[in-house]
Amino acid sequence: MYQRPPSLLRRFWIWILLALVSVALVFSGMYVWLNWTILQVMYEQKAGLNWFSIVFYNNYTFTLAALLALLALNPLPGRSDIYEVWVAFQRLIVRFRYETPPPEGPALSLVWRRTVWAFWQLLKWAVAFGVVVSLNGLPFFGNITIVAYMVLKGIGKWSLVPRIFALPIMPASSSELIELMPTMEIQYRLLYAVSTVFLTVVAVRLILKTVRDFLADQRNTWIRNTFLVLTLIMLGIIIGAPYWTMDVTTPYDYIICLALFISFFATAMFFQLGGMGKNLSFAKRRRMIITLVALAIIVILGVNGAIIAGYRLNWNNNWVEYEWRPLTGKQIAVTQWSAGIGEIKYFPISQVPTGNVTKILSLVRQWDQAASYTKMRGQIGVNWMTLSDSDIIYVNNQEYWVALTTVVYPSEDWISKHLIFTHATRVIVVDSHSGEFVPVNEAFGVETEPLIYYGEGEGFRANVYTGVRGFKEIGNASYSGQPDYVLSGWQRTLWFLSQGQMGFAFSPPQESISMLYNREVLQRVKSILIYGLEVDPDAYLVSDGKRLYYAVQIYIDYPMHSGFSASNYMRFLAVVLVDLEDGSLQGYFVGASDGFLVDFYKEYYPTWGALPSWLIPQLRYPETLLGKHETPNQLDTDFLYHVIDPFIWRSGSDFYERPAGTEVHYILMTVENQPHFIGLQLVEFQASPGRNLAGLYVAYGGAQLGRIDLYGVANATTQQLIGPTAAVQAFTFDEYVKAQLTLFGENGRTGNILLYSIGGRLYYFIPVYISQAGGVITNMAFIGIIDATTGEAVATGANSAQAYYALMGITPGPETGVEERLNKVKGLFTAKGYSLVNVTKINANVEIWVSNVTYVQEGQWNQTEIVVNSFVQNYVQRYGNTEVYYWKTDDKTISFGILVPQGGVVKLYYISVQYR
Amino acid sequence: MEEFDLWLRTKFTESFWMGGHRFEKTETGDVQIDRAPFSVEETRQLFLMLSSRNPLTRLNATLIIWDRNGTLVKVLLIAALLLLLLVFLRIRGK
Repeated sequence: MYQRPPSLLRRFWIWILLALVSVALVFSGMYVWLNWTILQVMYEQKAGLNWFSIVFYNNYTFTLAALLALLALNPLPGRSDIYEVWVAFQRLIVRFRYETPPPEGPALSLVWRRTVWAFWQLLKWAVAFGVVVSLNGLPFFGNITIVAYMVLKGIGKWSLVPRIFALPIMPASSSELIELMPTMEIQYRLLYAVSTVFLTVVAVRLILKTVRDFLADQRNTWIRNTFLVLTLIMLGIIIGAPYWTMDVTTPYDYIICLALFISFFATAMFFQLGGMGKNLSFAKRRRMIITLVALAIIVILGVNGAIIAGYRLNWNNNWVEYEWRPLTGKQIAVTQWSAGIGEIKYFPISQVPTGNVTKILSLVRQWDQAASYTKMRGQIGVNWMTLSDSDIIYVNNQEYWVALTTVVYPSEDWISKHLIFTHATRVIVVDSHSGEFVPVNEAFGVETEPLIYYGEGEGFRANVYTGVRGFKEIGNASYSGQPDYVLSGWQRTLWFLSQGQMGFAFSPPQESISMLYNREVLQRVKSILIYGLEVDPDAYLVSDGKRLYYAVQIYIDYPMHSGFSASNYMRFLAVVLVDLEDGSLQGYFVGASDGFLVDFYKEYYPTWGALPSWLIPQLRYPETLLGKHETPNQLDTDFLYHVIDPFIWRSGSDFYERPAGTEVHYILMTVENQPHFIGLQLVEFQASPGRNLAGLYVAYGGAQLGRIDLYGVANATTQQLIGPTAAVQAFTFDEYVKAQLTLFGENGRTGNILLYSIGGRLYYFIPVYISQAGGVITNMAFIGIIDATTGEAVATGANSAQAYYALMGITPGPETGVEERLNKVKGLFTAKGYSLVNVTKINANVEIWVSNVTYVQEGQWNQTEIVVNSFVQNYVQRYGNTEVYYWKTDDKTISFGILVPQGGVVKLYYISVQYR
Repeated sequence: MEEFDLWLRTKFTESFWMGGHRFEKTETGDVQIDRAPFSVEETRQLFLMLSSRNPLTRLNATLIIWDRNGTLVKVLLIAALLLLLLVFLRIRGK
């Protein structure tokens, strides 16, 4: 009978499958390699950084992984614990099935066994290597590569390791603990992790041997191994003891652990040596020794246990001696150090800085983020852009809300995403006090609004290709900067194959295609960060007057393992500026030297420098580092750990909490009549029924960056101030406000709750906005002011000044007259030595209206001063003019300008001031 | 001791209790104490130890019997695991 031969597929399916898997592996391997090459080239060109060396710790990731993976190998050639368990299990099955065991099959040759063994060890090593590389360390121990790297860089001291080991029985003082912390997190951490993993591997092998011996009925061996495993567990606990929280009972706990370690080891040896002995006459002496040792251990355990019980029974009547001094007091000191809150200075709330009333009132942040954001939405004007996020910034002595646009794709096809919508174009700026739109060039001093190729949000997640023949970027723009990478040859083919673009892979419009890669600025910065570094998700705009940059703030958030540290190690480390137009990156260090992580990271990024002078005034302290409701951080730690009195700590009477609905607000605080850009966090007493104000944290930006002050209520029983929660209640229960909010219905809402010190007294300002849900128009209906001392005095006004004067019951001082206002404006020029020439008519080939500003009341003087000074700095000084012409544009407006001949063309640069 | 020797020599096989341990003769002539096999000489030594006024010697005898009948292993294992559990509970919050 004829039988059809099996088909090719059935005969070679395993080889076909293997070939397919191999091709997939090679393809994905090459794709990963190409991505790494792109990152390497891009960061080399645009940040001056060696990306591969950074993320793989100068290749120590691989070296360390290769060494640690050796722990997976069986040190006995030709032996395998797993295989031996399997064999013992099989024999057991056979024993159950057959009364007499079947004859054993022919054994494998020695060479073959050794080869299989070697292959198995290699496989285990490769898997362990892969796991250690992917984790950059050992499972459950976090990143060990960075720890080993810090050891190599000389951070921490080996000489302190014995002292750390002795900590449970020789307690250290607070200052000594702080000194020991770097070594505890570096040298001792490395020893602890490696030894614990080594002990775990040995324990697992012993467990496998125990199972094997148990199945093989070798009684004493499995008992011995069980006790050896217990011994290793105890040893691991003892090695980890320096990380315990340590109170007065800790030395006794430690002695119990030591006693158990010795007794488990002794028991293992007892069974190794055959128990009590087969022959009683020979075992008499041994018996006595064993019994005495056992009794001694029982006595040690009992006595130490009794001492601990004694302490516990007397705990409350000796709390200071038993817990506060050995534990809590030290925990507060160490936590303050690790959280970076040790430098927070405490002042009574009566010393909150204040200044000139008019000045303060002209700086009140009347527009909150949501209101300004709603207003900005109406400025976009096209369907392919939206606002990414709005941030508060301080530039050229003025506070603004700024939102950059990001791309939204009207069409989701590949060409639109990668070739047409390559950039966004709008930067929208709103004055945080007046809510007026401010042109970008006026706010930042830049000449033109930049094209945004690198930004925040989903619109910048896609890589884009620029200068591709046959395609036009939106708005007829053309990317003029350096590309992140140029794809050509087989790299281009591989890249576009992975994108599913066969045409671009095999018949592209041009050989080399420029690509902008990893354009989302937070991700772009994250890609060069190593373990322990975090980015603040609120990147904001800064400018050197020529270009605009995203300032991405980087802070250290490194886990501390000591029980004395209730916080991770937290420090503000650096700011990385990302150019909006070409994506170049430059880092600047902010953090002060600490002999620990700040120094390590500073050495790790050698191309990052010191802050340039133009950047310093624009900097602020990172919000996420200070803490939010959802991500508690430095301030949240200080809410508890600012308390250093044992009984206040125990009673919890001075613990703070962040009130619901408040967060860190960046505002301008007047200190000696100078505005300072600060982060303000109001706090209430924890679980306080009265919702009283407990204090306020002031985190300075600018030249005083890093300074944090706490203005606390010294005695809450005599000095009561209402908290923000109560302030909102007082505000919304006011007859007028209640009526207005009822009238506005769903369209009305209250804004930020901000606290200002005016004339040595604290006042809350709460604006009320009207806007339609989903609308783009919002107005500040009025702003309310509440006296924080009483909570009863509430007043409202069209602006902060009116509200304040209404609350005071006084009429504001006479407004400066028309002529005085005009003279004040002119004085800004003459005070700088410029001659003002009154002209009736002025002619130029080109007229450039730089800016306009309104100065009809004193509250607008601050803004006017900024606009005029900016014009003087950026135009009059720049072009070297000594004469400034002025003329009346209409009855209400005066203009100031200069004539600049450029390339045969006379240009008129001018500003207008509405003064009437 | 004479009574014990008499018990060993006679055919009388009924078990007896000494210091909380059960002595019984087997058909092979050996003795089981708490179901652990001992030779006659070992049994005599154990009887003497259990009769001793020294509590340490009596404890020693008990340990020998427990070692031979497997109780010691069980006691040690259970005690070790309990102690380890207690240590874990104690250091868990540390």
